[in-house]
Amino acid sequence: MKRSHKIKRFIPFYLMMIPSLLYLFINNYIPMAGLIIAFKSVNYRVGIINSPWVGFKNFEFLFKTKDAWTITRNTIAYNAAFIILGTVIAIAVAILLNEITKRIVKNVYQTVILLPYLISIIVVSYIVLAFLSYDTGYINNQLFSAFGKDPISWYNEPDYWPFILIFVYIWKHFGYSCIIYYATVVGFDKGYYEAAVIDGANRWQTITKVTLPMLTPTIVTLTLMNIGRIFYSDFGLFYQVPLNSGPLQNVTQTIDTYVYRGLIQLNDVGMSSAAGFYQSVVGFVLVLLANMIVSKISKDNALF
Amino acid sequence: MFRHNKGFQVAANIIMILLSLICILPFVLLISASLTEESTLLRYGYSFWPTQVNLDAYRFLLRDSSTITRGYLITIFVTVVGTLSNMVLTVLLAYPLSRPDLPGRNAFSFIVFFTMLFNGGLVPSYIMWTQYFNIKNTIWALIVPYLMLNAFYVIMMRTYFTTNIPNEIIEAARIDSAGELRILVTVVLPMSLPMIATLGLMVGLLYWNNWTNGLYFLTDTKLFSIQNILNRMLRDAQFIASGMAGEQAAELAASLPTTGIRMAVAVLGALPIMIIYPFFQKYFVKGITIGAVKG
Amino acid sequence: MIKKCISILLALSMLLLVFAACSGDSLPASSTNGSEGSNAEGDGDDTISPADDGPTVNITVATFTSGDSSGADDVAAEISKISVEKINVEMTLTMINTGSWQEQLNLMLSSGEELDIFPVGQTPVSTYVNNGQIIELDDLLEQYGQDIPTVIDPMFLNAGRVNGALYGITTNRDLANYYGFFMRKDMADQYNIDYENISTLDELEKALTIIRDSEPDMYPLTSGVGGMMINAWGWDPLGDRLGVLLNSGIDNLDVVNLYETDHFKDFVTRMRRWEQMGLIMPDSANNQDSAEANMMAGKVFGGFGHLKPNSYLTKQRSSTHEIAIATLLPATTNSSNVIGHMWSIATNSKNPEKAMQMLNLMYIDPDVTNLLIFGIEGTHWQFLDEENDIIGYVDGVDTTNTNYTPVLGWMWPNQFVGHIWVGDEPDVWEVLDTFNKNSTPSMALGFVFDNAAVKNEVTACTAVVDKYYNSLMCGSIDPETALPQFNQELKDAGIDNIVAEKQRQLDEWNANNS
Repeated sequence: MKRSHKIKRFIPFYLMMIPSLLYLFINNYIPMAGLIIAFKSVNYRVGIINSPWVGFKNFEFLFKTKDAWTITRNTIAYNAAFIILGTVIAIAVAILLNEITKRIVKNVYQTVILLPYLISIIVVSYIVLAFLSYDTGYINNQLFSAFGKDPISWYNEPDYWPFILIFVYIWKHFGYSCIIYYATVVGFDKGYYEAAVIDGANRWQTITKVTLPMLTPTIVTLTLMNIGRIFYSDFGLFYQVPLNSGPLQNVTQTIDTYVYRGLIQLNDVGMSSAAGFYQSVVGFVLVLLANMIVSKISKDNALF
Repeated sequence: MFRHNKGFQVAANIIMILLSLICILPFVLLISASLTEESTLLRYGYSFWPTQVNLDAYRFLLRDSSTITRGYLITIFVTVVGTLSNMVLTVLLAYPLSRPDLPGRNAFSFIVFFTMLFNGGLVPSYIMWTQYFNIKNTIWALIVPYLMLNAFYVIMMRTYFTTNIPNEIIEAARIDSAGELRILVTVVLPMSLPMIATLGLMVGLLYWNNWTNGLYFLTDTKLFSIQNILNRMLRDAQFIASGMAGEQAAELAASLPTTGIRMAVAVLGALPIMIIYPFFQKYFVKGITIGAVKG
Repeated sequence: MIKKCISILLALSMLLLVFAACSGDSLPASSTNGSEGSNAEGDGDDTISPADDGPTVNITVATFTSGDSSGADDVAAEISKISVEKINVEMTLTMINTGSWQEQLNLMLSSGEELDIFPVGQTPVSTYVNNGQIIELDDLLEQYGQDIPTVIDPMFLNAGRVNGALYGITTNRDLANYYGFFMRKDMADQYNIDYENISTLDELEKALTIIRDSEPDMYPLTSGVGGMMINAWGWDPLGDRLGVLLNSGIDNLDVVNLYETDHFKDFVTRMRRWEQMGLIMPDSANNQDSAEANMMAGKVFGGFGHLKPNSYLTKQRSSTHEIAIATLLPATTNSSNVIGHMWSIATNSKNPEKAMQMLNLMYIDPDVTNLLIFGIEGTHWQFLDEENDIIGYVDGVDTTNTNYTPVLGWMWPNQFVGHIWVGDEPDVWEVLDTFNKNSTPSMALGFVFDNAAVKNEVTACTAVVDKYYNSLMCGSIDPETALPQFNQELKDAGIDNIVAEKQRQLDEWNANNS
C-alpha cells in the first residue's frame, strides 16, 4: 500500500486521540517544566525562573545520610513484596470469584472485598491500633490473656512490622486489584474453555493452561507499570499506620517518609522536588530495562 | 458456565467467606466505634458491639444538614461528570493505541506512560491551573486537574482491547464499511462491558475519594466535596477538643467525641459507595458472545 | 523506536522551554520596586503618601481558622468601613481552615496570588526569609507602623529579626511559659497530695506513686498528642532543638548538643524509671489523644504541660474535672515563644506601605480588634457585662451555629485592647501582660538561627531525632543502650556542624547587640 494511503486510513484514530493527548499535554507535560525546581535554589522574590541554578545540591541530603541505604532497601523490598504477593492474591481471588456460580453470592463477595479500599489509611491506622494497642488492643487484651501469654509492645518491636505492613497493604488493595483481573477473565472467549474441556482438561489444568496464559498480557502490563513506581511508597501506610513510632523506623522508613520527616521544618521546595525527581528517574530507568527485557521475550506484551 | 466440580465450588466458597470476614470485620469495628461514647473508647478500647449506642458523633457531623447535603450533591455531580469525561477520554485514547498497525503506536504509548513517571510537582500545576485557567474556587477545580485522564487506566484499557477483542471482528465490521468511530461504539464497547464497568468504578472511586483538589484549589467552603467537609469537621472537632478554641467553645470541648467522629467521618464517606456498588455489578458480566466469528 | 522516542521528547522539551520562558514574567516577580496600587489608576512611583488621596487600596489578610467562617466577608466589610475612613484601605479577609492552611498558604505564596498580610510561625520565619516570601519591615514600621512599638514591648518586637532585619511582629499573648504538672484536683485532694508545694520531680514522683498504688485502674501520667511528653524541660531550644542553651538560656550563651548533656540523660533516665514503675501509660510515645482527653476518660491522672496564668481554666475546658497545677519550672521566655506566631507582609504585596498601615490599625484600634476576634456586635456577640467589658454569644448562637467562629484572640495582633469573653477572668489581659514582662528572658531572646548553610545536616538530624526523642522522653526505650546509639547517629548526621554554626551566629548576634 502506498504510504499516504496507509496514513489516511488511520486519520480517524488520530482524531480520536486528540482531545486526550491535549489533556495530557496540559495536565501533565506543561507542569513538567517545574522539574527545574529540583536544580534551583528558589527565591520567590525574583521568581522561579530567575532563581539561581545549584546543580545537584538539592539532591545531597538524600545521600549524605547513613539511612540512605536503609530507606532505599525498605522502599524497594516492600514494593517487590506488594507487587508479587499482591498480583498472586488478586489473580487467585479473581479466578475463585469466576468459579462461583450463584450470582448473588458472587456480588456479595465482590462488594465486601472492596470495603477495605474505601476506608482511608488514617482510619486503617486506628483499626490497627485497636488490635495492637498495648493495654486495650484485641491481641494483647483478649487473645493473649486468654492463652496466658505475655503482652507484646507491638509499637516498639520492629521485627513484626514487615509482616504487619504487608498484610495491611494487601488487605486494603486486593479487592480493588482483583477487579481488573476479574473483568479480564470474564471477558475471555468461552470458546477456549470449551475446547479445553473437549480435550479432557480438569479444573486445575484449565486454569493453568488457559486462564493464566490469557491473563499474561494484563499481568505483564500491570507489573511493568508498578515497576515504574517502585521508588514511591504509600505515605499513609508507612507513616501513619505505625503511628510514627520511633523504634520502628528502621523497618518502616521509606524514601517518602524520610523526605517528609527531614523537610517538615525546612519547607524547602527545591529539596522536595529533588527527591521526587530522583524517585522518578530511578523508576524510569528500571521500567525501560524491564520493558526491553519483556519485548525481547514477547514483543506484544511490552508496554511500548 | 459449564460443568463444575463440586469440590472446587465448596473450596472456593470457603476461601471467599474467610476473605470476606477479614474484610468486613474491621468495618463492623468502625461502625461500632462511631457509635460508642468517647470515654468508653479511650478506656476500654474498640469492640465489635457498642456497649451503649451513642449518637453524639453523628449528631455533631449532621447538625448542619444543609452543609452535608450540599457536600454530597457536589460530590455526586463532580463524580458523575468527571467519571464520564474520563471514560470518554480514556477509551478514545486506548482504542487507537490497541490497533497493532497504528503508525507511531509505540511512541504514543510511551508519551502516555511517561506521565506516570515524571511530574513537575504541585507548584507549577497550581500556577498553571489558577493563573491561566482560572479554576480556583470554581466547580471545575474538582473535576479537571489530575483526574480527568490517567495513564494507568489508558494502558489498562488498551491491554484489554488488545487481549479480548479479536481483530477478525473489527475487520468484519470494516468490510461492512463502517467508520472507525462507529466500530468502536457499536462493536467494541458492548464487547468490553466488564472492563468499561471496571473503568467506571475505578474512576468513580478516584473522584469520590479525592480530597486533594479541594484542598489545593478551593477556599470557598460552599464548593467543598463531602470528603473536604468531613475532613474539615474532623479538624474542627480536634481543635475544639484541644481547648485551643477558647472559652467560646468551652461547653463543647469536653463533650466532643473526637475518636467517634473520626470513625463516623469514615463511615459517612464510604457508605454511599457501598450502597451504589451492588447496582453496578450487573455490568461485570460479559455482554455479547463472540458467536459471529466462528459461525 | 528509541530514535522516535528521543525525537518526540526533544520536540516536547523545546515546547516546554519556550513556554517556560514566555511565562517567566508572570511568575512572582519582585514587588519591592515600584509600588503601584492594585488599582489601574494608581501612580507608579515609589512613595505613595500616607494621606488619603489616591484610590482606595485593597489589602488581603489571610489567616487560619477553625469551624465555619463564612461570615468573614461581613466582618471584613465592617472593618473596611473603619479602615477606609482612617487610612483609605479596604480589607479582604480570607479565612482558611487549619487543616488546609499550610498547604494553601504555600501555594498562595508560590504562585504570586494577591496576599498582603499573613501570620508566620508554624514554619520558622527564617525559612520564609530564605525563600524570599516575606519582606523587611524596618523602614515600613518607622514610617507607617509607628504605633506598634507602643503596644508591643521592644524586647518582644525585636525578636522578629533575622540577620538584623525585622521580618515579623509578634502578637500580645502568652509570650512566656512556666512548666508544671496538671492533674485531677479531686483525686489530688482525696489522697492529700499537696500540689501547691510540689516543685521538684522527686516530689512529683512520690505523689504519682501514691496514685499508682491507690488507683489501679488509672495511670498516673501520659504524654500529649503525638507522644510529646513535654515541650521543653529547662532548655532554650534556639529554634529547632539542634543545639540548645541549658538552664533556659537565662545565664549563658553556650550552645550545646542537648542530647549529650547530663541534664537530658537525667531526665530520660528518670522517665524510664517511671515507665518501669508503671507510672506512665504504655504506648505513650504513640499517643493519638491528648492527655486531657485521657484524663476525662478516667484513664490518666495528669500530664506535663507548658503553662501560663490561669492555665487550669484552659485545661478544664477540655475536661469534666477540676484541674490542679503543680509548678515545677519558673516562667521563662525565649525566641521560640515569641516568634512562634508573628504577622508579616508577603513579597506578593503590591502595596506594602498600605499593608503596614493596615497592620498598624489592627494593633491599636479596639473596634477593629473586636471585629477580628469576635465578629460583629449583635450578630455574633453581645455585651453581658458592659462595665467589666465581658461579652458572650448572642442568644441563640453558639459555637456550632455561628458563622464567624471567634478564632483565638492570641492569633490576632493585639487582643489586649479587645473585650473579654465570658469565662475568662476580668483582669486576664493585665495579668498576662505582667506575666510576660516579669518572666526571665533567655539571653538569646531575639536571636533567630538561619540554617541555610547546614540544610543537609538539619534534614539528617531531624530524621534521627524523630526516631528517638519521643520514645526516650516517654521512657519506652532504655536510655542505657538507646542514648549512646542516638548520639552516635546524630554525630554521623552532622550535629556538630549545626552546633558550631549556631554558636558562631549566636556570638555574632550577641556582639552586634551589646
